[in-house]
Amino acid sequence: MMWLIARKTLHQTFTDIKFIVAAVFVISLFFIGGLVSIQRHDQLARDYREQQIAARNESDLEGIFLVKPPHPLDFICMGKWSFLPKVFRIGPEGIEVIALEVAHHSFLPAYDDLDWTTLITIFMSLLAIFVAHQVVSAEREDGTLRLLLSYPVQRSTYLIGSLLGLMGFVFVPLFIGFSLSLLVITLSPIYHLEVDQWIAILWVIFYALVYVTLFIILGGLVSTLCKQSSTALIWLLFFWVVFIVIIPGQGGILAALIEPTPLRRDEITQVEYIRQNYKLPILDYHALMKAAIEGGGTEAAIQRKLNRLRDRIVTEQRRRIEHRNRLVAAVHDDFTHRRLRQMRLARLTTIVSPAVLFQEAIESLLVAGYHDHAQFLEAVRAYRAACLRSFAQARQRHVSERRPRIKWIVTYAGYTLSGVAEWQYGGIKPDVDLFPRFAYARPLVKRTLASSLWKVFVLTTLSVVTLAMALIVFSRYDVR
Amino acid sequence: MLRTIIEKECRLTVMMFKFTVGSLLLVVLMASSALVLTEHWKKRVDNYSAHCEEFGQELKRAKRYRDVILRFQRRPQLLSLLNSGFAKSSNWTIELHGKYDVPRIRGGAIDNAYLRTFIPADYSRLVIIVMSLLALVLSYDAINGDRSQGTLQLSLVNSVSRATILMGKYLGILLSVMLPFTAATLIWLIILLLRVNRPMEVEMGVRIGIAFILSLLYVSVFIWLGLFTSILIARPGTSLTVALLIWTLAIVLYPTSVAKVIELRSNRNWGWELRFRTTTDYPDERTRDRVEAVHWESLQRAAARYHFAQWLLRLTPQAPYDYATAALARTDVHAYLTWLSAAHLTDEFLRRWQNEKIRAYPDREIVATNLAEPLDLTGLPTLVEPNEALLATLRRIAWDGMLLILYNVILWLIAYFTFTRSDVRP
Repeated sequence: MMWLIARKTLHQTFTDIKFIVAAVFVISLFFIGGLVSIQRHDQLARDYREQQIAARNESDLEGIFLVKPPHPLDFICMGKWSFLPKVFRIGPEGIEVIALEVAHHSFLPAYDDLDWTTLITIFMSLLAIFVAHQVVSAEREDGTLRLLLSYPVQRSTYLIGSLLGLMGFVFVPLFIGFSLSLLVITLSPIYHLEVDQWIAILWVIFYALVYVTLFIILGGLVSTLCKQSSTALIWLLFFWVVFIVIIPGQGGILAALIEPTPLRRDEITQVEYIRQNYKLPILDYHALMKAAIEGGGTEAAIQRKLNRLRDRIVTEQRRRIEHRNRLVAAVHDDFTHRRLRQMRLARLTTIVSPAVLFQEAIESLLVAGYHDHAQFLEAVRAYRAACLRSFAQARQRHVSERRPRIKWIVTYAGYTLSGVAEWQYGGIKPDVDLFPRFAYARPLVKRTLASSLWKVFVLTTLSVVTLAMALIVFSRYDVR
Repeated sequence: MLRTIIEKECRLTVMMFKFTVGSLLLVVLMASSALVLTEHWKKRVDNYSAHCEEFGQELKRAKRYRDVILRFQRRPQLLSLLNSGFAKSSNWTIELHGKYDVPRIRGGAIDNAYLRTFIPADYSRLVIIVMSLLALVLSYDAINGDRSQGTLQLSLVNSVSRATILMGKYLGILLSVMLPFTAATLIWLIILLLRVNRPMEVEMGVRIGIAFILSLLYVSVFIWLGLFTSILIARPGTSLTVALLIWTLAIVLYPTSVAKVIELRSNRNWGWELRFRTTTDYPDERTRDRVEAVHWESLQRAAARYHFAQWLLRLTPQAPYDYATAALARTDVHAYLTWLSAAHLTDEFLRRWQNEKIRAYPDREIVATNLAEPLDLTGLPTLVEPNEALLATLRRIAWDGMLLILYNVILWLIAYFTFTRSDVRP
């Protein structure tokens, strides 16, 4: 019986022109989205190559630039790619995140891309509530609900059956959209999908089905709560606007209110402070020099003493600079970590929206968006640790090419003692044989599945709870 | 007669359930937006005053000309609650080093780039999304609903022209939408004034008032749109679908696509970019100038791209409304670029000042770490933040206002001509 009702609902929906129009609209969006993705991926790949060349040209023994490669599945989830930093600089002084695009004032607002995630979170949810709003109330308005329930049909059978029918209807454009998009993408020479990525795509499709189902069931619930189908649609529309359009954008401000934004200015101030404190205390050495000269002795003895003093100063300098670099690296790390934490908080404050939950699930599954960013930072951190010795060796090798950055001179009673407090290695290319190769590989799906599956589980639980509520409400529904 | 129709339409609309829900939602959203954004604004002001104090102390400590760094922050605009615009959620800072380094832009989105991926719901964004939807929801069945009930035919039997009926419907819906909208705006304003604890200035009041009028113009475009679909399509269900489709296209899809397509068309010189971001040791002043010139040029290109996008986006009514309110709030790209130009001029002055001073006291140029007394800072240039006068703003947003009026007139004409030829039988 349930299948009969499902088939009837499916048939009814398919014969309604307005639903067909909406479905065709969504399908064409998937198609256009696929075409746009190809263009964009091409451009991003080109950008990446150019950035890599620039990074190689500009890298020196002061710092090496690393560029984040574009995501191979960015037609599914761009994760605000254009607004996240992509270039990082590692050196003895830690990791610097270089916000090229952001600083470069892409003046355009941070809208979503036309990727699968956006299409599903915004447009498919709209289609779902649009189709599901009249499941019960429209039947009641036509008077057919009363007739139908006069047959020996349980109310729960009726509701679940018609929801199944609606799911069937909504899944059709979804599948057509996915296949069209995938067709365009596999035919283009830009994307090269591997087995693991196909598995990821299958999981994404599963997640999408769960997400869309939630909205269909929600539509059913609101429809049973309202007497008229138009009232149900209005409620659903307002719900959609608040939860899908408005709330996901509020994370930034909420996170900035809860936790103060780590300012770039503070970061620089802290680094400057450390630099100041680890400068050579020249006045102390002034006193030492005075003592050495006043201690008396022959000219040669004094000179020997002074030379020993200079060696001491140089050793002390090296020690100080090493310690300073460790501290500066810690400051940079701390700020990067706090920024990421604020971003996580921003997501957490808006997690009440199913759209955010879905986006989180997809991003953590594919390692896209800021998850990608965090993973890449981990890789960069590991690479820097591996490179520290290489930096020291390479700097040793290029001693003759270095230039002084800060010089010091101490004079006393006609004697001068001078040296270089800090050298700069700008413009000296890093040796290929000394530095390890940098590689960044996004983890496989089976590694990331666990962290994303619980978010989908939450969505499923929400669906089940909503369905239970709908069944309870419908059992007391006045069908006249 | 027109008055009677308006009165009837008003009463009908206000009695509707969807009207109540929409109004409540609007008021709640506006109030919460005002609460959150004022709190955020206070934080930004604290940040700004801390910055100013720190800047003064740093200047006092300076012992070399190299250490004289002019650090200017854009004052957070209170009206960013109206439209956070380009400034988004953070304060922009520029550091001027004169002859020693290129101007560095700090703060703003760079503080935490991740947070820029969010779009806060300020006053104008709520109007763009919620009010337009409310207008469509109230007007999609205004004509075809009457027609299917047969009342339209009856009212046309009386000597009422179709133009009067259409105008009556429109004004009725507009007036009833104005009711919750005015209430929401007042609540928003009261929260703003109470939380910020600042008396209302005349100019600010005028700016908010103009924004309110622009909002009405924007909403009225959507009322006409709803009425038009209602005339064109016989069944209310279908007309709602079409109206929603247009809404999704105009509010969500079109701006997104244009922004993304424009973003794709940006070519950069990444090498110069990297050098600009990281190098602080320039071998000579000429290299410094070259790096700065390249950066300034790419900035101008970004601005040109943005203006091009603006023109494309103006095809939908949300864009002129958005730009006009951002201009009123002094948070748009234009205001930012003006500030940046002023900063560059100040940088030029700073360089001149440094050169003059170095000629007078050459010993302060290189190492002077153990000198006790601070620098002589007389004649140091400063940046006066250029604040656009109200009249200039008005002149700039006049076109956007006209465009909104034009959209209204065009849709009214189309709706009118369709209505004169439409079949009114149920």
